[in-house]
Amino acid sequence: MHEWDDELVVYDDLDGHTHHLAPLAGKVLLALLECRGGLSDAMLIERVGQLLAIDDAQVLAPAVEEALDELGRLALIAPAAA
Amino acid sequence: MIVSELTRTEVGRQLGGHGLKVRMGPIVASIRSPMPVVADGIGFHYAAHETLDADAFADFNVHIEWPSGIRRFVRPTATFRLDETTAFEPLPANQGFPLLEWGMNWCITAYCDQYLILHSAVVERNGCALLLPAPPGSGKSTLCAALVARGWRLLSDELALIDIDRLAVTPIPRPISLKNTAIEVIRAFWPEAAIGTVVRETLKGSVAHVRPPPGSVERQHEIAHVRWIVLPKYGAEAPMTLSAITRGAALMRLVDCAFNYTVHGRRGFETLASLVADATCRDFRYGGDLDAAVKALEGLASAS
Repeated sequence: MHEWDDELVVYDDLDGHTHHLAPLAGKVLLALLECRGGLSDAMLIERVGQLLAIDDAQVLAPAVEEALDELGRLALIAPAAA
Repeated sequence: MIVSELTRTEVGRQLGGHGLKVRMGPIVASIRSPMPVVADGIGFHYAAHETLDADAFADFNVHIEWPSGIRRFVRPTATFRLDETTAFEPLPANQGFPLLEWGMNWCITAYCDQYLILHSAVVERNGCALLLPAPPGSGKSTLCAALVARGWRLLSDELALIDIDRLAVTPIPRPISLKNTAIEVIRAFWPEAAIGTVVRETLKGSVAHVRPPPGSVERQHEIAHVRWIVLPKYGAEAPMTLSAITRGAALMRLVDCAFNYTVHGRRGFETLASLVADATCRDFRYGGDLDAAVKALEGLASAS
């Protein structure tokens, strides 16, 4: 994984694909990687907000949701077992 | 000894016998062919390349052959063979030399996995390499020829061999392949260029090759570190623009242009990331003014 300014490029060891992530998706992935034990939605939004210097959770929540969908589609993340 | 020190008869004799062994950068090809167009093409385009003794090791044993029997005389074709493998459909016999070049490209991309191989032209000045990665039709060979005309050293017009351990480009200076209108464009831009026979009606249209300058061939053992990555795109009527791109975008282009990226896995990713991290990365749209295009790239090289 390499981060330059606001962009993140990720190599997926599992399938050999390389992904160039949108800035928000990159921050979401970084936040998830920081807390490998799992994060609640609220904690994730708070951490992404810190990374982006945005403290309005209501604004961030739908964007983070979209970023999670994107990361899921790319098979970079999967929901933790309940 | 270099090819130009052999007589045309001797070139033909070796090609028709045990094989003419030619060093092309880090590889040695043993070439066999009874076809005069192949002998003429090698004699002209590989004049400055080193030849090796008959018993020297060759990485690739390639053959450009006539068909057997009467087909040799009725619309004759040329077939490329690597050892016992026939890699392509036969082509008209007059395309024997381009077929050799395409076949060598295939050999290198299919088997030289000690390198990370990019579909890219590469030239060098003052020890720094300019990488021009692009898909076919982007004008990279035209730009490459124009830069070589202005004194840049040719490392390759088609295949950038990235030495993963040294993070550098290993030169493989071979003939520069020009297609269609690019042939006359370069003839006008670089009147002294040694351009071989124009072969018409190939699968790629008209094709001609430019002989690599002797200085580039003599220095084919000198690696170069990548200083600039420029993504070229030719459009006949396009205004010229040379604009910054992000390192992420440059990295993704290199991934797209790599022939054997998946072979190298994470190491390939880290190699390409290191290349873009250390380079100035630009997107380059250019149109019909080749002189202006070269000046723009030379300006970039002077400024960074």
